[in-house]
Amino acid sequence: MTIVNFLIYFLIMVGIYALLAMSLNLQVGYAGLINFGQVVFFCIGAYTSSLLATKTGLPLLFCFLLAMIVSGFFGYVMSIPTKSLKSDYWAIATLAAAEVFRLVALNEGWLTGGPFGVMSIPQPLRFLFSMENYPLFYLFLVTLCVIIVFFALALITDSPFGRDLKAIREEEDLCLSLGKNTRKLKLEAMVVGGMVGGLAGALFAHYVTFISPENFWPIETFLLWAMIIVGGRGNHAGAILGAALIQIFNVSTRFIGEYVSLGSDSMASLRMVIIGFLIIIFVSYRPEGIIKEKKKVYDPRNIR
Amino acid sequence: MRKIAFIIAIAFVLSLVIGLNPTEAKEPVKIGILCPITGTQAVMSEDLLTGFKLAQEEINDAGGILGRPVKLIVEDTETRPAAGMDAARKLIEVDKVKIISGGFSSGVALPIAKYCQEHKILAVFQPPTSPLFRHVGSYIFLTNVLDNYKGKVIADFAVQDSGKTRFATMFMNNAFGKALMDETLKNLQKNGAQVVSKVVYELNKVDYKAELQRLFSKKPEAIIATFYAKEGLVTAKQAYEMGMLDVNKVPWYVPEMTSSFASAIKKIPNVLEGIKGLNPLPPGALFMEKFKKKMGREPITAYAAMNYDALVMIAMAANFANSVDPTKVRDALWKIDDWYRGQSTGGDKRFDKDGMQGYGKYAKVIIRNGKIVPYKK
Repeated sequence: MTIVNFLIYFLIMVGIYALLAMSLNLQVGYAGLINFGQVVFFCIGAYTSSLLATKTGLPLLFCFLLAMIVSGFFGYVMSIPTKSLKSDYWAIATLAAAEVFRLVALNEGWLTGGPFGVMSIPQPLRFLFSMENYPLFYLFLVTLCVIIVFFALALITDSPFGRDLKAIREEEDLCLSLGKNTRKLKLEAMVVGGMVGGLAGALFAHYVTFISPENFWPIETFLLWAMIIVGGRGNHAGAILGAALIQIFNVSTRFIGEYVSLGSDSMASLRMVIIGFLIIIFVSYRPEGIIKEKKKVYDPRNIR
Repeated sequence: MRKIAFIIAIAFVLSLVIGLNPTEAKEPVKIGILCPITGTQAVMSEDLLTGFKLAQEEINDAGGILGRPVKLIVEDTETRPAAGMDAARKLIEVDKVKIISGGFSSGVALPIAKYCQEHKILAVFQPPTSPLFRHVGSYIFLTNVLDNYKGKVIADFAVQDSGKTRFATMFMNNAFGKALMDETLKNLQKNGAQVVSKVVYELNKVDYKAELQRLFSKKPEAIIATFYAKEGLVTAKQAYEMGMLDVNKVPWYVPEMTSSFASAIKKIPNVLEGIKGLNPLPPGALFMEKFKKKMGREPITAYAAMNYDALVMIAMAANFANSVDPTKVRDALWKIDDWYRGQSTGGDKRFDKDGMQGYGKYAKVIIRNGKIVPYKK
């Protein structure tokens, strides 16, 4: 029960949000796909993994993997009807898809527990650790996932595939004229994004051990947007930095309240106002975010 | 020489500062409060906090807990589970609070309750009323009556009062509505009534015509429905326009009268005429008087009094146990609940074997001339 425990909890949440932000960043920052329904991957990952674990008793490693696969598959399904849409319509369609899924989770009580949610979700390797040490292990697990995802995504975005995604973001028609199959590329970006989002969802569910549809309101998506707007689009480090900053901000206002004469009840309302301000300031004065996307100059002799 | 004078001056100032520090003031007992200050339930937060503050003042005036003053640390849950968890973790791990109260919505409070149970933190929550709370563990107490009980009361009341057998029901789709609905349906059946249509609606919509049409599609003889303030206003207005609020033909029974029609009764009182239902028993006269004195108005929700009861009971239990250790306070809660005359749910605050409120009562009410008044047949 010390501040260290709070720090560990805080870092775990930063890690989970960082995964979600990286996933969103791949779609928005690289491929230019305005996804307003990012929370759906989080939701699917969390539900898939926790339902498999509680209902079938499958080993948790498989639950995590299946959560990623199902979530990635949903990214694929979501982009089939929407793949020919332009960015703003894409945004509306994704927002709707996320709400549809949340409503399914809320109403199909026989499967998801409906509004009561899923309780008593088992935790990976829980029996190996004492109650005090377990969060530390979980922090290690989340950090490991963040590092692996970071390098995996870096590998993907540095490959020709990543360059193609950026080309779609900059000028889709040009990309088409070069003979690239932009629909397929977008679809692949959604699948990869979905898998990373699903992983974050599974990590979240097995950490808090209780999920309900209330966890997946659209507001979560917009917090993620705030993270990548502040951190910087088009690079993975920016997404992680943004996740950490918004989370620090969210939590620190709880502490400042005691020293400022406002009292914690006024601080609570102020928090939302300040996050809104932060977004406006960044969008108007530093639209590229804190970490600017690196401009890469390619040597024409090396490009085949 | 100037240097020495300077040092003496500093020493003098320091001694003054230290001297001013009252040595007799004891370290306060910190109690964590979780409150929905922002988010969909924010309307009630001022009242909810006032309930706690009134109790705090009273406890401190009477000598506090074991002679130490009570300090409330308030955190916002934003009516959002993730933020609620942030708040609870901060209270428990950083402020080192051992006793928590507040909570409000079930979705937010359930994961927190589980966390409290695991770490042996005493939680005396108010309104979250999902039946799942019953099984979380021995450190979790509620000061509001569980919905299961209310479901039985409204079903018995509706069947006996109306004498009808064909019912239609309408509940919101969340943990609160679902729990209440399940219990209501079960008890309607027990009473030999038939439920011809069960409507479940989503919150925050601007139009409930489709739901109302489904509610009336199979010609029910009586309705049982519950709302929150916003949905109650829209539904009442639309039901009236569609000719569905003729209570002489088809009577309506509402399990939560005040919170269902908090807005409607101000804006369209005439259309609600004759709707019957239940209310938590109004707060005790003592509480009402104190609340009015502090705020200059009546509380909009009976939940404020439950918070008052929660804090007073915690203080009583701690004084009885002669300790602020959560386990000892928990054990003492079982003993003092018999003597304590509460200001909410009719005053009987006895806990059942799971720490839930098992003995609360409800007031039967009816809307007459735009006011909610006690109902007698």
